[in-house]
This record gives sequence, C-alpha cells and structure tokens, in this order.
Amino acid sequence: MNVLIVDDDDHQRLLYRETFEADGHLVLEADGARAALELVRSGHPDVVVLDVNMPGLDGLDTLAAIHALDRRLPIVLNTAYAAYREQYVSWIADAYVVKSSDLTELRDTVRDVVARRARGPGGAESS
Amino acid sequence: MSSLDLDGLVRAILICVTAGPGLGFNRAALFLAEERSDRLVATMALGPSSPEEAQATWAQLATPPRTLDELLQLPLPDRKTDFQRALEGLVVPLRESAAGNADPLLAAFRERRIVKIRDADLVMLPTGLREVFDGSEVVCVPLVAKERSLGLIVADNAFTREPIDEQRIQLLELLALLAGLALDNARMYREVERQASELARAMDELHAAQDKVIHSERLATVGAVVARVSHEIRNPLATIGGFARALGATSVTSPGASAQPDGAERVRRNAEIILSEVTKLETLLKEMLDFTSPKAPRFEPLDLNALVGQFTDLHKGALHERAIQLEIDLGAPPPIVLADPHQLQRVLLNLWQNAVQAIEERHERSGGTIQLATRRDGDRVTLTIADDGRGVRTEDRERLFTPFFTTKQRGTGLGLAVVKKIVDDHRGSIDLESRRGAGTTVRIALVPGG
Repeated sequence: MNVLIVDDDDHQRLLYRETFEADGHLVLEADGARAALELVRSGHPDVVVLDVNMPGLDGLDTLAAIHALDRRLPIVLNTAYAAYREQYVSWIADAYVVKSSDLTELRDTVRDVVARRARGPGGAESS
Repeated sequence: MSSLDLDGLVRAILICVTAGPGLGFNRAALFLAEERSDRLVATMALGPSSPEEAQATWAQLATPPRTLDELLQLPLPDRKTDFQRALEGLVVPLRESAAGNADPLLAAFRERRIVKIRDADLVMLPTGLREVFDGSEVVCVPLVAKERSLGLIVADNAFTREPIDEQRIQLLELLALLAGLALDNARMYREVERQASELARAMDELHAAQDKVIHSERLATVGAVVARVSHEIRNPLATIGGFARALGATSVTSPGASAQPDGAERVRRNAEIILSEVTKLETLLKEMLDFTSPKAPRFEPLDLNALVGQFTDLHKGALHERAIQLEIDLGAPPPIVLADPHQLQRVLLNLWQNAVQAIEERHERSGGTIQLATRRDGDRVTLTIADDGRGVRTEDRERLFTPFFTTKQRGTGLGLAVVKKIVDDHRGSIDLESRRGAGTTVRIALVPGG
C-alpha cells in the first residue's frame, strides 16, 4: 500500500520511510501541509501518518483539510503530544499514536486502519 | 483598667455607686439593653446579701480607709453574694409587662427619667427583682447617651434603710450621665473591634483563597511547561530510539550477507542522525538551564558596533547559502553600552535566529533581508534588528516573551524569554513590532557605558 508520511522533521521522515519500505509499502513524504494536500490529490495514498505539532495547531488544520479532500482516506495522528487526544478535531482521525522509538504500534495501527477501511461500510467500492 | 473595657467599666460604675467615698448606696445593679433585641439584662450587681455580711464587708473595706481610686484598684472577691447571684444575668423583657407602663423599670428606661420606687410600687417590678428589692426604697436611673437609653442603674439602701434624698439622686444622675457616655464609647469601641476582627478574618480568607488561586495557577503553568518540555524531548528521543533500533538490526547482519550493500554507510549515517538529535536535546537542556538559572551579568563598557561586527562576521556565511541580504547601519561615533558581552551576544544570536527562521518561512528558503542598526539615542543606546519574514499574528504578540510559548514548528519557546530576561537584567527595555506577512522589528534600548 501507499503510506503518506507528513512530518516536518527530516530525520523522522527518513526513519518512517525506511521502516515502512522494509515492511513492503510504498512511501510518500511531505514536510508540510501544502505538500501533504498535493500528494493526497495526486499520489493516491492508502493511509496518512500525520504529525501534529503544538504551535499554531497547523497539524490539526492539515488534518481537517485532508479529511475535507478525501473523507474515506484513513488518517493516523502521530504526535509527541498526548494532549491532542482532547482536541475534538483530532477525533476525525482514525487512530492516534504517540511518538515512540518503538514503531511496532504505529506499524500495526497503519495496517489495521487500512484493513478496517477496506472492510468497513463502503469498503466494497475499494476492493 | 481601660475605660474601653466594658466589664471593667460596668464594675467601676457600680463601685462608684456603692462605695463609701462614692455615693454610698448599699446595693446596686446595672442593666444593659441588648442591641437588636427588646430586653434588659442585669450585667453586674454589687452588694452584700444580708445586714451581717454588709457590716463585715464595710468594716473590711474601711480599714485602712481607702479612697475611691484605691477601691477601684481592689481585686474582685472570688465568691459572689446572694444578691449578685440573684440578679446577674436576670432578663427583663422590654415589651409591655402585665403592669403596663406602670413598670418602673420600663418607665425609667423608655422615658429616660429617674424613677423612685417605694414599697407600694414594688408589685410593679418584674418577677425576680421584686423578691430581691422587697421592703426597700429603690431608685432607677437611666443610662443615656446621644439621647438613647443604654440601660439602667438600680440602687437601694436595703440594710441602712437610709432614705434616698434629692441630693443623692442628683449625684446619681450626674454619675449616670458620665457612665452613659463612657458605656457608649466602650460599646462603640467593642463594635469597632468586632468589625476589625471580622475584617481581619475576611482578609485571612481572602489571602487563603488567593494562595489557592496562585497555587493552582502555578500548577497549571508547571503542567503546561511539563507538557511542552516532554514534547520537545519525546520527538528527538523517538528519532534517536528508532535509528538506534535500526542500527542494531543492521549491525547483526554481516556486511556480506546484508540485503543492503550500503550497510556500513547506513551505520555511519544513523550514528550521525542520532548524534544530531542528541545535540538538539543538549541545546534544549542548555536553554532551559540558561533560562531558569541565568548567571548575573558582568557589566563592562562595550563598543556595540564592534560587538555587532564580530557577530555578523561569524554568522553571515549562513545567510549567503539562503540568499538573505544583510544591511548594517552602525551609529557614529560608536555607541558604548554598559553590558555583559556574552549575554549581549546571546541576545543578538536569539534575535538573529528568529529573523532567519521568519524569513525562511516566508520566502520559501531563499531571499529576504535582515537589517541591523545601532544608535546613541539620548540617554539610551539602541540595537535594532529587523526582518521581512512572515511576522507574528496579533493574537500571538503578547505571549511572545512567555517562556515555552512558540509560534514555530520546532521551537523551544525560550529564545525571546531569554532575551527579555537578559535585557531586564541590564535595566534595558525591549520593543517588538510585527505584522503577519510583512516582518518583525525588535528594538532593544540599553544603558550607555560612557
């Protein structure tokens, strides 16, 4: 599947790229909102891993914009801020994974949300 | 005894009424009207219970002969007489009694006049008093202050049977006049005291509430700071850990068998990334420590132009890569400031980094201009750094100097807080103008060094 990584930290993106590629996925990278929206339109991602940073709540704006663009695209919020769970905008994401050096949870979650979306209501269209 | 102490005052009045050197009544009681209630209460009574006791007491008080002053100084006897026990605490309702207005106590109190009760009138006295004063000639004198009745003095000569003559009554009236004023003062004082203690209690409660608010605000601030710092630490830690795990996976594979021919290269690269993230963490720690325990500045006269020159020589190379223009406008003669050179360098560095980042965010990583200027401006020396970067939103401007507040994706929120702290320590001032999409100008005014 195609995984879109949205994170402004170069090192973090590199780590995720290598991890997901090792799992056999294709990886798209965006370092900001603009690039992310561009890739959602043109790159056909199956899932978005979106970093959310505190300042300016830009990440949540991006989340809302991606959601508006493609309501069926699964989004996994990936952030160092556990407190984002309380921001209601974050609830439109399919999953919420706090950043960790252990990427097992992130990899499992990405696989699960994609599988769930494929099975879910309307999943028949994307089979 | 203070004349403002109500109990002591009542006692002094009764001593004056009963003492030989005073008015010399056999017995006396003082009633006070309770405020906000319609009753009189016998506050204190003074006098013996029987002719025998009277003889003994008077003999004792007369040897050696004592003046009124000396009598006032005598300690109170431990044991109360029957007369005292019968009267003290006795309550007389002020509403119409069965005797109606004929009740001599009520008449004296309400009409503020002296009432003399002879045997025949005793039936008119309320229960409790009737028994005590039975068979006696009694005088009731109102205690008045500001045309208001405060209470009554009731006195008789139960044992000597001496008639209460006009002269005695006049003296009692005079004493009652003074006593009324003194009681009124004491009562006002007591009221003021009560209000003061209520006020003190209210203040205590206010302080306690304030402490609570401050404490919870501090907790909230600490909470926000901890959230912020843990975020700043978690990001690099996740990267470091992630690459370290990858490193472990790479190193167990022998180079020859590795699916990736660049195994050795990956190890080196991962190590570099880890190192750079560790550096990021160290910088964060250093900034936090700088902020929370800054060193006291060591002031010396400094040529501000020279300081700016050294700084730009060191940092202008980085501008070149990003095609950022640098315009320097130095004041002449060179303005001298009284400042700590290291701390001032730090101020310049933090503002410089903000300017560069603001330009990068607006100009898509190329273009833009930074302007640096120094001036002697009256009794101040100013250093101005201006950029044409993305600027700050109006709603964020007020909070820019708040520790851990940042508008950047990757900022500690300490840069401007440190600048503010240093400038404050230098008894200087800082002024920031900014417009979203137009740029930011920061002007720092410092104390001249010569």
